[in-house]
Amino acid sequence: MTKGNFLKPINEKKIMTELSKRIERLFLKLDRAALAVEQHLSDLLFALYADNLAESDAIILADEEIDRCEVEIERECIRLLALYQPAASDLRKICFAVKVNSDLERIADNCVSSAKMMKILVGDNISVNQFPLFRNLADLVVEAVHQTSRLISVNCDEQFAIEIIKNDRLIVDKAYRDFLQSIFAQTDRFNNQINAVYALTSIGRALERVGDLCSNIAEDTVFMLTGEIVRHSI
Amino acid sequence: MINFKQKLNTKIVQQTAICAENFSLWYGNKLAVNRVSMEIDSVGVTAIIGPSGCGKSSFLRSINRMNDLIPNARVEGRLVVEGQNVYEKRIDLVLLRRRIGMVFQRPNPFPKSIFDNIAYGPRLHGIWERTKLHEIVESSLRSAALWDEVKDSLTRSAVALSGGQQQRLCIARTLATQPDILLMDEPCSALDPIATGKIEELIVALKENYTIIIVTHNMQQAARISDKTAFFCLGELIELAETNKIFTTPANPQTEAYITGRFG
Repeated sequence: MTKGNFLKPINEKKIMTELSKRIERLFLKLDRAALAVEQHLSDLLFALYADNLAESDAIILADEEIDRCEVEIERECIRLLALYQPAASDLRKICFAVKVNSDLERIADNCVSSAKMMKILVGDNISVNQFPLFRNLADLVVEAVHQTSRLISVNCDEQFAIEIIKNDRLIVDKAYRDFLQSIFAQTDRFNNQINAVYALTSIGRALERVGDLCSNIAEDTVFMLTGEIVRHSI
Repeated sequence: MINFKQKLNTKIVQQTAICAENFSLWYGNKLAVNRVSMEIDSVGVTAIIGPSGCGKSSFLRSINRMNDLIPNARVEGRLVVEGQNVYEKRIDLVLLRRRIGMVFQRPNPFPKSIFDNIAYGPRLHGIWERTKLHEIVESSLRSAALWDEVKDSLTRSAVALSGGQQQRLCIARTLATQPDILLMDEPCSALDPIATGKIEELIVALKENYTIIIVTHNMQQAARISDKTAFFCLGELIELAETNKIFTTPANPQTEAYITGRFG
């Protein structure tokens, strides 16, 4: 071995600080939370289509685990902010995690409130299956949540995020309006079952909120990647 | 009578206090500052950050020609302070260093009384009248937020003050000669967090009236107190921008890597 050759050249790009490692672990937790929320939504829709009250109770119970994950992620974000005083992309990543964590928990909360509303529908012998436009809205929201989950875990890309934002504003919001109109056009079907109308519109509203929250996550992704706040500009 | 408020009112408001144009500095054959071009605003704090040996202190010391004292140091390019190249031959160095004060890493009070430390500069510039000196000492100590702590012991040795007080005394001593620009070379690196906090508060208070350039290794300090931040690396200016931008969305990947601790 010649003198001076015993040290291998260091590739700066491969150097990971302790903070980078912890942010990577934080994003893994966020990724798992996104998958859990996606599962939560598909369980809700399964319960709604099958009028399965046992499943809706399971959704309400499963929310506790999502709440626990949310608190854990938030604590880790606070720890990282306090201990490492991050800057630049590290700071943006942690801010992203704080906001997305909260949005994911709110998506899960919307699923829980829909699961509770479902009990009213079943009590009044009304099913979402009677409203074809509900399935249209639900399919769009499921797709939005799936794409958002991909955005967080595998395809963290600015263009992809902008597509999700546009999709929510152009398609999901329209599907929600169409669904509402279809309910109000069929009021004679409800025979004074005001609670059922309320439950249906609440579930529709909750799904529309889920779409909005996906859009928020996509906006936060653009901020994390570029530092640009696009909330009011797209 | 030297009245700081009066001085503030008469101070010429300029957008750019210091302008470096392709400025380079060598120590013998070693290039310490490499063709730096930058403009420093007349009001506010500009922080210079960068890894050790990147030329930030050398650049700072070039502004009031402290590097002239180092053998084999030579410069190229222009360093214009309020319209005048400081490396012109006809520059009066004593006057230049009166206008551009400097505070160093370690507090360096003279082994004299607190009063004599502050009065030292004015005396050098020919002010001997006792009442005038008293006024200068009081207003300087007040500006450095030290008056209330030492007003009853001005004859006490300055060396007996705490580290933080000594550093504020040094700032007061600099202010006593009525500079327009304050250069600070890691002024808090030898101080505890409480003393550091007081110096930072003082810098923020002084920035309304002085051009302040601070070299610091403490990223959070730069983020807290500066309006603009310049990042130096290997003698070159890599990026100069609003501090907020540098610490949230730096334009240059090298700046990003440095402030996130990935190299340096």
